[in-house]
Amino acid sequence: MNFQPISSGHAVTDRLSSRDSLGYQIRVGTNQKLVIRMDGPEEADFDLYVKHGEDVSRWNYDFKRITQHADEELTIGPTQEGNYFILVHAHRGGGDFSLSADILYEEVVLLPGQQVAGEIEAGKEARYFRISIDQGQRLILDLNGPLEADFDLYLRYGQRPTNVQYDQRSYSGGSKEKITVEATQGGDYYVMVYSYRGKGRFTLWVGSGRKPSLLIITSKDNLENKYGSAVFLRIEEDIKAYAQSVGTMGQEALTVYVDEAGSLLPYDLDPVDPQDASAIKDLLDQLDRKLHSDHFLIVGGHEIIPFHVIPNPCGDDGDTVVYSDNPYASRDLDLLIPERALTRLPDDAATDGVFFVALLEQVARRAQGQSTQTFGLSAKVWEGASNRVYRELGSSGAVRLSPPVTNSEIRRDWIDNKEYYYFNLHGSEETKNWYGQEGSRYPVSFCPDNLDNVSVENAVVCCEACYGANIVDKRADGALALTFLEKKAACFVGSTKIAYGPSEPPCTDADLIVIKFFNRVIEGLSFGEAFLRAKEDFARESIRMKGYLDKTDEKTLLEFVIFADPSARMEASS
Amino acid sequence: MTLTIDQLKQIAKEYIRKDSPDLAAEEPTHQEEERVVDPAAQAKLGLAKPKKIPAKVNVFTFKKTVTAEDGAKIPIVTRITVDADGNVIKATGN
Repeated sequence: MNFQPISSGHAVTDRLSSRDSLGYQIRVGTNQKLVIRMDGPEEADFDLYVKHGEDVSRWNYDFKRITQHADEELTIGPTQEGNYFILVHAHRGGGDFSLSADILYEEVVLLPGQQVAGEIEAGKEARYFRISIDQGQRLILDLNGPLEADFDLYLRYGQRPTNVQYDQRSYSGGSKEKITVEATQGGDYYVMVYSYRGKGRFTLWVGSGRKPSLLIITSKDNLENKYGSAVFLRIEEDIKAYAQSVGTMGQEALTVYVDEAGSLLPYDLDPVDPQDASAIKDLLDQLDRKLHSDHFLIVGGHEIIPFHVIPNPCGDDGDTVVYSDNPYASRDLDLLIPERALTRLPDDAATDGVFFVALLEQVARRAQGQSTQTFGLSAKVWEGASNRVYRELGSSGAVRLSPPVTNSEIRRDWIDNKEYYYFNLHGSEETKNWYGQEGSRYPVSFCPDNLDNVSVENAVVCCEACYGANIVDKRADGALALTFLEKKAACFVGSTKIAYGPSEPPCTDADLIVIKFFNRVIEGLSFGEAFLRAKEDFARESIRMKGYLDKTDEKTLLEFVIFADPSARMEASS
Repeated sequence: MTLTIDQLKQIAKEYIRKDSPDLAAEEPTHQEEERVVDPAAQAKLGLAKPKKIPAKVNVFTFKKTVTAEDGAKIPIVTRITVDADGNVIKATGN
């Protein structure tokens, strides 16, 4: 007999002829309560037989429910882990019937502002939560589950939801789901996290009240001290204009100065020392618990909101520390795997504010570019690995190689008005240039002058060069990352320190994280979300390949940063 | 088969001679690396408990500084990861 899998809370409808039987099975965890209900034809007599762990028959069962009717109910508990096999037998008469099996859990009570972690151990299983909330509140549920699985979110007022009975549901085909109730009824809401496919851990966050889509954080003291009052006011106006432009796109942006009491008063939080990265991370954690934004943006470079300075996992490669935004992007003390879609718009070392103001104004009025072309440039020694990365952009061509190409030979038409730029070159902590390699020759391959009279507006730039995103104490013309932003690129992804990669595929380290980022941007995610998912994808694939994250994997996760508006995205190429 | 550190180093050096001859003259540093996944990272990724893998590997780091054509100093680093049986399981560099 075939035993059809069924899921908790989901009723199946079938038909039986007299003396015939049908089989079902449901997976259950330990110490739960399984309630099986059958609703059959009025004149018929249907019976239920159940067995744990193996096929059930009328002669081999653990539980049975036999009356002279076709409506039966059987409660089993506490359950053993595994499959329960169910037999429905038409003892007398035939006709349509429905069968449902509910796995009852102790409900977890959630409060607004709270995040819980849970686990679903198999497909078709569910976990339940209850939220008590006042009338007229905004209720936000945010589910993050495993990438490989498909978890769905169901909400129902007053009663537990099922797959068919719910007020709202979110079922994207992945495991990142969100439900928003703009004005709640007063009382209890019930939530079901349901695995349509796959298993794994998930987090569920419950928010209420005002929820910004974008949280902007910066330091008033550091901006004022660096730029003076007049330029600071201009910067403040630009940040407001940017927040408003985000608002016109249907999102809500909120700016918080980490060191200004008035800015933090609505959240009942105290200002922190803007030089103290750990204190800023703690404040960001508290803000996140209260606001739970979709995106987070740090406005300013290392002098305004400092990078975290982390001991280099690869302790013997010459870098003593790694500059990283990962701790800001993480909701806990783990530094490697970010959980927030967080980016940074850096300023440069100059104190006139010209670069920074232009960057903020450009971000505020950004409209996505129209070109669909790409440009790639690689050190010749890494030709194989670079072409593997470049292929992800859908380009029919190959990366240009250095040597033979050097900076003086780069033609304007190669790099003008492209959508994606990819660089796999050497970098130096001392200079603003990037370098090729063939044998022991290291020519200058790309320098800020190459961007003179070239449009890179709205482009995505990914660079694997060592120190490619090192902006600490750099002026806009002293670091290519800042030059690209000055020239209005939409996004720059690169490494603050020595970055690694293989010379040939399979791709690891910098190659792999750039591939994952390109994939996620092309998929249509915002830059902040794409960078977050790219790091998760990178970690999962690295673990799949070797069984663990090695020290260069860890360093890659820490040192790759993104400079962009977190809520912006590339429009689909026409 | 378990090889000595010196034997493993020779395997790494041989690999470097073929793959990155510019570093062949360099003497590598050696680190033992635990093959573990941080439990917090594992939980965040929603991964099942990893299957058992040999506990440790040996990482040999070859490093030098070169001078680019504009005079800039560029660090050149390659890390070769070798398991206890002498298999090169990863080679990565900058």
